[in-house]
Amino acid sequence: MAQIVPLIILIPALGAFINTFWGSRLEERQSALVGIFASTGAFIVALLLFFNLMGNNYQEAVINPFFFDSWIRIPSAGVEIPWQMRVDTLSVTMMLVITGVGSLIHVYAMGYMHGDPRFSRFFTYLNMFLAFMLILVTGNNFLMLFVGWEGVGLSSYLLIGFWFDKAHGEGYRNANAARKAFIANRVGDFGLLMAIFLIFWTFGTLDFYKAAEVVNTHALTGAAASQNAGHGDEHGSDASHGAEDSHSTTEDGHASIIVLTGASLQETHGEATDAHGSESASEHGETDAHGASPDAPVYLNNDHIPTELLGVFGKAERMLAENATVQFGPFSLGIGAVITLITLFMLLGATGKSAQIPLFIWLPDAMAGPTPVSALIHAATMVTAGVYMMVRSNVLFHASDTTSFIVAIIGATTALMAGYIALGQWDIKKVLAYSTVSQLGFMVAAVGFQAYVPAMFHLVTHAFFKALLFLGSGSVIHGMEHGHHHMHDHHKNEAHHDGHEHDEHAIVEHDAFDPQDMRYMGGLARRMPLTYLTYLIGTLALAGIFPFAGFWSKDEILADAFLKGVEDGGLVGAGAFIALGMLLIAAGFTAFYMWRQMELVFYGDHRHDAAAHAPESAPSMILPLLVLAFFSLTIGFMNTPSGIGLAWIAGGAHRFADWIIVSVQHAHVGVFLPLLALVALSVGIGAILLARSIYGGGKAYVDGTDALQKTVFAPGFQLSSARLYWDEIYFALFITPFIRASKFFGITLDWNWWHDGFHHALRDLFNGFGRILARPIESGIIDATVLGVGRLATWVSSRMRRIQTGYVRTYAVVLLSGAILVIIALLIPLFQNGG
Amino acid sequence: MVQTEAFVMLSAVLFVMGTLGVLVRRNAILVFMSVELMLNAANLSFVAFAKHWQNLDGHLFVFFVMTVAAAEVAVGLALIVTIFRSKQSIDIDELHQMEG
Amino acid sequence: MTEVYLFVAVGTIAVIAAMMMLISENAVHSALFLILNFACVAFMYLMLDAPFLAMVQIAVYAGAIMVLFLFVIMLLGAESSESRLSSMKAVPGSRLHTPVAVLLTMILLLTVGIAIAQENVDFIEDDGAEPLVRVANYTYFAPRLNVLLDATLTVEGLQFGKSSEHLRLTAGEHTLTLVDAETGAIVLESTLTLEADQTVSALVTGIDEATLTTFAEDLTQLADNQTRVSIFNATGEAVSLQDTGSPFGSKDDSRLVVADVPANSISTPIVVSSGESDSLRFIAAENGALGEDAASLFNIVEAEFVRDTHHLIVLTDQPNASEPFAYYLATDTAQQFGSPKAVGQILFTKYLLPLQVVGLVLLAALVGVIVLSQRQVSTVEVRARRPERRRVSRPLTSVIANQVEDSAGASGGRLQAGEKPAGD
Repeated sequence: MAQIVPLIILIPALGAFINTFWGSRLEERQSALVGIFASTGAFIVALLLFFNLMGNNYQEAVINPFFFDSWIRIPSAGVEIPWQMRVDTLSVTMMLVITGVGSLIHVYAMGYMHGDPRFSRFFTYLNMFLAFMLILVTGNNFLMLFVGWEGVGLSSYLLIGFWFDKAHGEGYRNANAARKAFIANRVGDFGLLMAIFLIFWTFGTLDFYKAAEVVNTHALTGAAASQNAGHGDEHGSDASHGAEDSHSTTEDGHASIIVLTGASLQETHGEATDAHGSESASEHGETDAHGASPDAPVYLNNDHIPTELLGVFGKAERMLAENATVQFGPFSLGIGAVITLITLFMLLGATGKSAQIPLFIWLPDAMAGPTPVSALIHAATMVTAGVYMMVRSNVLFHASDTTSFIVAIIGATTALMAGYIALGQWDIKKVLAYSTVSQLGFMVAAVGFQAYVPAMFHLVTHAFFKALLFLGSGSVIHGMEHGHHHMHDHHKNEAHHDGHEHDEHAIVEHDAFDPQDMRYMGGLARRMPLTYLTYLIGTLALAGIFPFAGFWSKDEILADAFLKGVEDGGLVGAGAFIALGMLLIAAGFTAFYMWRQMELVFYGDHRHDAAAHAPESAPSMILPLLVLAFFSLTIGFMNTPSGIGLAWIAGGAHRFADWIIVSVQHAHVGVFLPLLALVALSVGIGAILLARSIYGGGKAYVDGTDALQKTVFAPGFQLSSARLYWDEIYFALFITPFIRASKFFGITLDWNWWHDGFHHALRDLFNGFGRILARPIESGIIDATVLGVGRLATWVSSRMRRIQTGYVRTYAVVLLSGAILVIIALLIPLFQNGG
Repeated sequence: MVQTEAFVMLSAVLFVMGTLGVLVRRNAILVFMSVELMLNAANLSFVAFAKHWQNLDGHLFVFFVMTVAAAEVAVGLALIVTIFRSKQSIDIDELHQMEG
Repeated sequence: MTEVYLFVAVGTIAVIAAMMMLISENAVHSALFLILNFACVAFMYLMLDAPFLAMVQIAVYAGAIMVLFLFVIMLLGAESSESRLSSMKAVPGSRLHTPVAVLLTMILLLTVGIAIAQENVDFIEDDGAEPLVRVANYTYFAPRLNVLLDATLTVEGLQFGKSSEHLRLTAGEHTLTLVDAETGAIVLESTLTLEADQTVSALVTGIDEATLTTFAEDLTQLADNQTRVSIFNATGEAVSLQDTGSPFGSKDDSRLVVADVPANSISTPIVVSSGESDSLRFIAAENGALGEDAASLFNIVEAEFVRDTHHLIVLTDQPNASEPFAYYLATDTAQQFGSPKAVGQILFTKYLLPLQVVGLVLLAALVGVIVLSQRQVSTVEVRARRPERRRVSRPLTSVIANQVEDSAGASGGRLQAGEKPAGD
């Protein structure tokens, strides 16, 4: 099993690779199939991992893939960051969501992007995104998370700006939107990087949990405490302890020994129990008949592991227990303060990636990308990376109440504000974008309430119905475009159309037609019935109507908010109540603007010819809608609260919670407060009815004004439509001064002064010096000397040359004279001696 | 009994005359003959000293000198002939091409 | 006295002939005067006891070299006088040429004259020839000897009855060690004292132990058809060498050639006429002058006495017989100074290598002359009537080019008309 885990990254990477190099040679269909098979392959791997985990009691595993021996190793500095992949319930959840929704969106994209000149490139980017996102969620350390973080940011940039070459300046707008996303993300990445640095400095490692660690000690301790250590009990009573739940569970386990170490996915048996002794225990998974070795070590916590061998979270807990201090050069901080700092930085990162205040501004602009992109990245997966990261770091967030408070406030505020802005949007995707921001605010607020299971649950459900809504909107947009093209033909053939008169309801000129603008739509329920149906399901799910998925997840968040407010007194409690209020209002907004959208788009009359001729979309686009609609209906039941008798659907109450709790130390099963649920439900239904009354019956958009503008809320609508002037404020506060500063540094400082002034002065100095060296020194002295030597040699040789007269006789005379000299020299002693 | 010195003196006189001939005459063949005269003078000197010291090595040397002189004369005259073919003259003053 | 007159006369003629050679305008006259000069020099050689060289002088110089000169003079038609114009006039200082030449030659003459007048002709001393030694092995008990002179092995395995080559050693004392080649035992150790111009034979005799006898051979010049004979009597009693006159030993013709050679001694060399003799025999010396019917100790059968040779007859006892046995050692005697024989003697022993080298030189000269004098095939000479033609001689390059078969050589060496070679 361990061998297939790296495949989940490699298969989409391979798909991206193939489409990169051979995509242009493949036909559309083949290129799309490569992408679809890649993402489906990854989904199959995720499924296999899921079944494996189900089969061995959610026992996590840490895999070292074959292609990296060790990733970063600096032994002298004590740095050891391996490329390790973590397969536990949390990461498998994310994997399933990513690959499942991703595969459906790949299929959808095959139809949506049909005819695009860069078709294969789109699938390359999609697969690349999948690969990076999977790295993010399967990483066992913060650095891998960051690699995936950056990678999905890059893929998002590439995909948002995919149509960078559209005419009439729209390409520029797309490119700008992509850049805005990238830069806003960058600010958040700064936060995450600072957090990583701090983590490394404080804990000396970046691993979440080492291979031998127990993740959720609470769960196991609670289970062991109530457990009898009997062996060989075939059907012994389970470790149910004081629960409201009347579940009687049987255990099939042979032994009650829990084998905890999981370096590979072995099939063990035992039981996983849930945390919080006050909750009911239920049985999970089947146990295997294989005998577990009684000799295997039994560990219920990490006390046997020395501190330096623990991962980040284990070390954090130890250091918190010891009240350690962390040295920063001459300064030292208590561990609590350090963890607060870390989590605040992480929050900054999450606001960037998960589009919270203050860095959410990129998400609405990101709707410039194709709809599948919006569906996959900006609804279901990438934007949830921040939430995932915070849930994974639950130990740190749990330890810092300050940050959790801030997180909750930010989340709730974002939810409210985004919901408000969504009311006044005309673009069908902008509504959904702000809706996403709002729902992310719900998830972040849940994390703030330390309700990690509801956060994850809402993440999963939201993925489905938001993707559904986006794909549905894409189908609508496609239909509007097709209708726009066919409009001219129909004009020639028919005198008038179904309830549509040219002059009465023409809103704008044909040239400025925007297929995404809801003001051109209307009455599409008749034209696109399947799209309408699935969109309706998605709307109801988002609005939190029983029994759709959103109801269950949203209500758990609200319940946890309430409980937090009740349990914690003082500021925190008050804050929790305020947050609860904001979330309720946001839920109301959600239901309202979604129904407004339904009225504008599907009900009423066609306000434009394009809407009158909009066809239903291709089956490749309809099929994912249907699948997602099915899941939006049913996914909520995987985490039904106990006690309301719906546990039979999923084979147990709060199955999802039990599943997640194993991997999240401080998670607990979500509470269901029926009263609060009723309140939320009524808020939702009431909002829908209100919207229906205002917008229904064809009054949605008349005479160029939204129906809401005719009511007393008109100025509120104006403000909402202007998106609360966030972009304008940012421009004035940050962008413009930044551009001015940049211009100053670039032009005035660097070019004018440094380049023209200083560099030119240097250049002149150098040239002058060179000239001095050249003329008097080089030419005058050196040349004269060197050439002079040559000239001297030439002159001497010209004189000496005359010795070579060429006449033999002169040579003979010279010879003779030389010989005579030699003879005389030899005879000198003779003459001296005399006689 | 003639003293050895007399022979050596005679040899010196002949040698000097040969030298003069080499330096002054312009006819190449005359020059050559003067060289032969010089060689002869040297040979005479050798033989005189050989007799003086009763050592036959002198004679041997003269023998070799004569042989080499013969070879040299042959080659030299062949050269002169060749030069004459190209220059139609054996005036050695005409051969001054290798001048600086 | 006649010698002096002869010398003066011939010398004068030689000098006058040389002067005429230099002065005469006609090249043929010059050549003839030179021949006269050569003849005078040859006469000088005769006066200097160098008959061989005189003949060689006439034959080679006058007969070959001057003939060659005359041939070339005739061929080139160079008998005409030199033109008055010399292109050397262009060289600055060329007017001084003749005066300077005369001056230098006068200086030379003066220098040599002074040197001769100092009567220091002898200042180069001749140490005399180095002595020669040879070792002869007549030891019965050591049939093979290793000879070590001054502790260096000079002769290896000297067999019985043989003598080594003449070894040239410096004058003075030398140690001679004789080692039995087979057993390695030292047979004899002795000191040799050698003087210059000596030719020494070291004879090792003995039946059981070695006895060394050194003998400086008399190699002075012999008259014609004469031989020098000496006897080394290594036996125990005095012997005489008797010539019985006939093979059949008639008592009347016999005479003693060498009488009374004492035991272990060498007789003084006698000179006999060369020839063959069958009737020599050794007899005991006590037999008297004529040795009538004396028992012969050893009959020399077919003795041959070569002229101009010194024969040493060695008579030793034999171990296994009562009669002694005789062995020969022959050495060439010296020849008359300057005679061809003498020159030949030294030429073919001491100067053999230079002789061969000179032969090669002659061969090279022969080849060179043939190559040089080949005529070129092209029609260059048709055009070659202009005096100032700047051409490198064609024949050489064409010949060499043909031999090497290299077109680059042919084109590289040729210059076109009017084109100046590099360096002009």
